[in-house]
Amino acid sequence: MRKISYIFISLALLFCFEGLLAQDCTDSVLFNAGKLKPAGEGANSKYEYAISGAVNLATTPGKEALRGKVKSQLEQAIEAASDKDVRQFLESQLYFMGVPAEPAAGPSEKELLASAKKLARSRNSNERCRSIWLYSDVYGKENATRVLAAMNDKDKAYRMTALHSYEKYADDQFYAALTALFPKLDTDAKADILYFLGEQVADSQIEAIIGEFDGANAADAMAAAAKIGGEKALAALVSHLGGTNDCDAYLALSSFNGDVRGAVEDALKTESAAAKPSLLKLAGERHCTSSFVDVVEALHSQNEATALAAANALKGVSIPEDAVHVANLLQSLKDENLIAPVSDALVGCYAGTDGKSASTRILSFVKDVPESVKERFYPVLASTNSDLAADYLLTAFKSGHSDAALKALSTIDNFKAAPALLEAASKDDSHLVRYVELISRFVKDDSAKAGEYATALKSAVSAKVKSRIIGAMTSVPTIETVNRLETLLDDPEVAYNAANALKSVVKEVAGELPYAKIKECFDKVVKVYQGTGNADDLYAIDEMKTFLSGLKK
Amino acid sequence: MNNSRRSFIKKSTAAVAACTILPREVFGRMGGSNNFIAPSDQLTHGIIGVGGIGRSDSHFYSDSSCRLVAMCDVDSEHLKSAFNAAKEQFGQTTRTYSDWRELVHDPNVDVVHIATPPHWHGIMACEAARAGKDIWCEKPMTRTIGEGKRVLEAVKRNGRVFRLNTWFRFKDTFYGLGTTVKPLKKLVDSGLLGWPLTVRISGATGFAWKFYWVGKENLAPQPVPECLDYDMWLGPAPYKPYNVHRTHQTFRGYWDYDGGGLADMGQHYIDPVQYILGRDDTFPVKVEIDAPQQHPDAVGTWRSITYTYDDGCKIILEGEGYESEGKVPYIEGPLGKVYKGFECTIPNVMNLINELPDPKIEETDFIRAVGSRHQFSLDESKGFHSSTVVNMGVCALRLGRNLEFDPVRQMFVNDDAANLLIDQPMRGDWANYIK
Repeated sequence: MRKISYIFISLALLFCFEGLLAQDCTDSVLFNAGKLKPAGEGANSKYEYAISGAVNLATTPGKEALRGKVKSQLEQAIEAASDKDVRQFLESQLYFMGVPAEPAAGPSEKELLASAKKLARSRNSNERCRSIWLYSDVYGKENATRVLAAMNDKDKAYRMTALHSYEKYADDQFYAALTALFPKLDTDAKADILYFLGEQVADSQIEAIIGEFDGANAADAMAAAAKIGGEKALAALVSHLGGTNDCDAYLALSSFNGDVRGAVEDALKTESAAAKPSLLKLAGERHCTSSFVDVVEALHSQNEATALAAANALKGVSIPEDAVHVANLLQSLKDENLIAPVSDALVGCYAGTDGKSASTRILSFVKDVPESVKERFYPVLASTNSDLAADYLLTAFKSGHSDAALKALSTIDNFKAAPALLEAASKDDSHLVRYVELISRFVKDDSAKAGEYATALKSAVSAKVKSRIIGAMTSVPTIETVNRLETLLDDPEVAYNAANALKSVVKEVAGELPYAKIKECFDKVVKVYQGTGNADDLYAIDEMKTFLSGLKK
Repeated sequence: MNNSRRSFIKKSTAAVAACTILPREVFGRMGGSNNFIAPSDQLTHGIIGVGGIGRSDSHFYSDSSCRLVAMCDVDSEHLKSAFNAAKEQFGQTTRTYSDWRELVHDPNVDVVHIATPPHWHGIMACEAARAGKDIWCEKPMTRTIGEGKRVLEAVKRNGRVFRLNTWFRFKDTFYGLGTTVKPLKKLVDSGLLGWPLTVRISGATGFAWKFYWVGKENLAPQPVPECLDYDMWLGPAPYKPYNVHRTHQTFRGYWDYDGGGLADMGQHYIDPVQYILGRDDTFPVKVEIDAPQQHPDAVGTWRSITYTYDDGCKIILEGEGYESEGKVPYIEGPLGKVYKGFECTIPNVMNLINELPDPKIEETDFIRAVGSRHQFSLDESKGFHSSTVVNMGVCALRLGRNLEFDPVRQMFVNDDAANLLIDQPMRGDWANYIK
């Protein structure tokens, strides 16, 4: 019973106290305002928080009852304020007590027309543009005649603005009136209209647009047709592949407003040789797997552009079941330029298979492949990331295929490749970048990792590579890393990166370092930053000072 | 200083009358295809604000496509340094101004690059549009929703080409997400993830909110450096005593000029999401915040900000230190999820989306857009929509409460104080430049 009474009384007191707090918040505006001092003389901040808190509360929807009191107190405080900055702050808070002004009534139609006429006579492009908008404000949909007349104007900005002003009123009748102007307009004006028709998706004018595919405005017309979409546009664009505007037709089909795959697959069987490269590109990009046979056929074309396009498209049209076929292609290729893309296609075929199974299958194929072409399969093996593949490539690295094998070992995600990369780094330190990536991925023990990074750093020559290694070192926050990073601060090429890394690592291991050592490291970092003057670095310096102040000396 | 717009234009036009050249359109420069660009036909640009981002490659360049001919800064040291750099790097002697209006009305400038703190963006963009200039503007597009509306109107009505200085919707790997935006757009458009979708912008999904852009409270007044025209630096912002932390590199920490990390990075992160979700022409209807009370002058940090659209799609921003734990999807729908590196729960997703058309081709070359007068991919309308999303969050933080927004009226619902943040008072006569 006593316990229940105690709880009841506590709760009652709590409610009363909270009620007092809520009451005080809006009751104390005058009091808090009286505590404000001229800028910099006191701790105005807490009073500013209190006052703005009261204002925020009083302006909250549903708290209108508080508004009058707060407003009145602010007004009194402003009256009493002798300092201009204090007054300015209070006035900024009083501002929120107001009511937003209703938008002023606009000018009359007569005034708008008078302004429009005056601006229309200006020599300034932007003023003439304003005039057409004013006419639009007055006449709305009835302004069509003026917009159509604007198409004869020499100023492109004016023409485009006229069209923009009519966007919401435009209908098929208007679009037809625009294309009816084509015979009399120059290419520049036609370009504007075609752009407008495309943006508006004016499908009623698709025939007129297609009619421009063979003229000076071909690119504009094709772009417009692509935005509109539909069977007619699709057929027309496909039929223009391989022609004078092949590039524009291809671009249009890439972003065609609709599905192009069926049309591309059919066209690959029938269209001219000139159209093949773009069709193949589209087939690969749009994953037209039904066109695999046509693409392979094109790979054997005498036309170099077609053969290369087919090779590049192969990955997009291949499925896992095509692996053996693609492997045979890779083996039998005569043109060196096609090897890389076909190899890439084979990688794609095995992408969904587990590494061990994939490498087993590839190796069983490779064993019967002539020695002279075995290297073509190294990238595919590397893509499996398996131990089997790594062992095979390491053997190749040590025998007569070292360059090709090294290239593949630089891509395999398998730690077995590390020694080969370290060996290669003695001639070209860029291999250390990949070496360090493998360390980061596969070495779990921090001490061992730090040791490997140190080994890499010893072999590094270029600033770029050293910086990459420094970046990796921050993932191993140890005392060892701190010591190594300190030594790099004297190297002007990497000092900044080393300073950033040192700051991060010291914070991580601060618990293991004496205060004096932490301060010493931070002082060195600050010295490096002070050379840069970057705003982010100034904040970093603030951050270190705050960190130090939180530590026991 | 007399900021009267009418009197300024009268003075400046009188001053340049002697050297006014005929409008470029008289030469029909924009018409026809011609690979040769005569010097008189070459585009030119001027930069306002050459102390920070104005010196980056986006703005500080000069080549055959567009020559740098003018620059302006309220800090004479910045101006001098930039002038010398232009001479050294490009062999270009540029006109220098301390009053941006002179640059905007310089007849030799075709394109105005606005690289000042955000509290100037709206005013400068409107004036530049009215002066017949095309515009390349830093983000956030504007500091307030109201200024954004005015810029949209001014650019459209004056037939100008505008681009915002962010680009992830059409190029580059999207920060720590590890992919470009294009496959995300295709995936969302395919419907494979279902609908509605939730997008999480967080350290857990590869995005940093730069919480170091916080302001300092109790700033003590300091002497204004001789090289700085502080009155002009403030411009429309309320007068507050000078302190170095308010200006130059650290202005982001103050509501009067910017909105902290949210405003700095918001458009970079949120604009592509608006694009991916197909929300370029609308706004969220609700913004909810989880944040400590914000100081009325100095920007603070926040825990989360959630935007909800009328169809249930959400964008969730997670502050630094408040990220969701474990493996967090960037986009999540009822049928699938996408993680960093485009890891997706839908099997064979890349093959599936490869079969789909690419997104509609848009103009992503600003110089070409200026020539063709086509809308640039990230134009004033898209910029306004994504900057409004950011500014909705800013309003909610400053008022310390959740807000509802009417996307048609472009106003907050039943909240006068929030609507008072849409158009905010401007010092002196600067409001005349944005009417």
